[in-house]
Amino acid sequence: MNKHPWLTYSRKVKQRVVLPLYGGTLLQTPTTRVVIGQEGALQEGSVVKIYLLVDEETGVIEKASFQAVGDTALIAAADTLCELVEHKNYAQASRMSAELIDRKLRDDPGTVAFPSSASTALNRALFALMEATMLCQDIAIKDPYAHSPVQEGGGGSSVHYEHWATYSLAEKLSIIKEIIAVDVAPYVALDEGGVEVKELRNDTEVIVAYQGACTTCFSATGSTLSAIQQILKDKVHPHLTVSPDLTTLQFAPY
Amino acid sequence: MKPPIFFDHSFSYHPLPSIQGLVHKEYPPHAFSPCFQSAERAAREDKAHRSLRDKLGISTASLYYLTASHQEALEKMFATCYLQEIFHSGKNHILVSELDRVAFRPIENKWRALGVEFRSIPLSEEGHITEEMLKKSITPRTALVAFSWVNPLTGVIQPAYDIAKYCSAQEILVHVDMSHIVGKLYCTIQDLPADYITCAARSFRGPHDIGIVIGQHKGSIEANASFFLHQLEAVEAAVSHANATIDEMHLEVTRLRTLFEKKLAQKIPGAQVVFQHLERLPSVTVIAFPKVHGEYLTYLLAESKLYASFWDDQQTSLEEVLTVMHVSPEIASSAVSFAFSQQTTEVDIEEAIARLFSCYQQTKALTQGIP
Repeated sequence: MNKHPWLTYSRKVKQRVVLPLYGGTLLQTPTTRVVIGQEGALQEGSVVKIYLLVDEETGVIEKASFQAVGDTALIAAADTLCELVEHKNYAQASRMSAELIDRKLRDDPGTVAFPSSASTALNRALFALMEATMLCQDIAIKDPYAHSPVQEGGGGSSVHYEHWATYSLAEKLSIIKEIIAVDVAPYVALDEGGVEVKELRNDTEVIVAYQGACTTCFSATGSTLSAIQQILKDKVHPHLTVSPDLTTLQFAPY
Repeated sequence: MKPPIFFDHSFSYHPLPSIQGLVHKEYPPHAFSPCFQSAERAAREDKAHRSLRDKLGISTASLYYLTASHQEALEKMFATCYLQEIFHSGKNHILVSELDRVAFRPIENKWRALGVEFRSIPLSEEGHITEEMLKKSITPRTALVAFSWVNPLTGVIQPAYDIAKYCSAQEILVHVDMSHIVGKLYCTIQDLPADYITCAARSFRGPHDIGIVIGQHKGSIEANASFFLHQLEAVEAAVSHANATIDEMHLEVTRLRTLFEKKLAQKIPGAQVVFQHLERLPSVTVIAFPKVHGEYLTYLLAESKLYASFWDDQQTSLEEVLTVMHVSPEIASSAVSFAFSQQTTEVDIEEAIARLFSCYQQTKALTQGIP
């Protein structure tokens, strides 16, 4: 027999269900517009509306909220999605994925927050968001890299490797690659970018190679780089530093 | 701290305190002796059998067995039907009520390999199996029609006598699962023109791991099921209790259910009793709430320690059940099932209404923008 879906929810999902933080509607101001995306209909038994308050100058989402008649998975997904898109521009928001929602709500990075049966609900919320971002296409995004997509400290608790010095180089690289794959790669993918670990120099200097949009992005040597470094310091070892492989960048970094 | 209120079939399934001692009773050393059957044990066994036959209305010509689970009872019934009818006649179609497909799925998977084909009997607009629906579904190769007398989530009662009578006239074997009927509906098994009857003992507060399979009329059960005397006595005690309290179920529990439905309608305008016009169990009601998903509301209710049902014990959701019964998607998705028992009091009803209202108000913040 399948496990009851409620038993497989993470603690964070359950908190969102009972106390959603982003339920409500939004009113526009002189410099912002409110766009609304909807998926489903009340007559179909499930409907979700995502409200975005978007700065008409920059395309940045200042606030997000939702309204929904739906099951627990839809409520938790819509609420989390609203948090994820705030302070991002609408183009970044349009690249949100079900995996990012799940990662945001995991109690433990290795254990999914939602059961697979919730995928319909997660995608329902994403379709509503997509529809809302489509209504912003006329706003030119002036500074697409105003905010690093990487969230420092996000995606799990801080874990230090006490015996870091005793690990072999291969073991150290494996740990760093795992952290980058879980806590960095999904977020830079929002900007159609990529990042991979190239080497570990002198046991402390991590060399990363950028891919895709990151290779032309100034934050690759700024806010994104410092966010990656902070994540590795928090989760692996406080002495780690991160440097970009300059040959992968298509601009003069310094 | 709020005391829990169980409107979720907990009390329907909770083994009677009086039988808990029987089931877990320690056996004396000679209990398993192959060559020692005391006169006292034989007398007790005989007494329990006679009482069980009498209280369930099983004729002396019928065979019945206790099995290690309700699922095993279903398995034995199908195995018998295969060996006695399908194998010899070549009729290999089994019609199962659309509401019961989930329960029969493990059996279906097994018997399909032997060439048995399972088909659904669609339900009428009222959610019933009717003669018209049977006429559409029955083929010359139909060997057996199988259905549950009642669905525990909705409480809607199928016209079992009419269905069985029609099928018998067509010379088709009939299986009725009568779980949730004992202690809730006045019935005598031998009057039901069904060939096979199964039941889960836990549905009348008997031991949780016991099923009952009965063969009567054309049906006979090929079973070598064995059971311990204590389990037989526990089932007999639970049936006796269910029969003794059936009047209370129809009078007091029904009164409390009506009170709940009325008070809820006053407190939450738009709340709708889904099957009020149909014959249903006296202990169950399904309520649809405007602009809230039933699963979400059930979750919030559980957080406030008011336990209602959105799934049955096989994890079939109420929404799926109602959809099969032709209820509109809007109502089906917003419905919650509540079950009452002899333990329910008016104080419980008042407190439950207050908690329901509070949880329902909580959901409003998420739905003001939904027209």
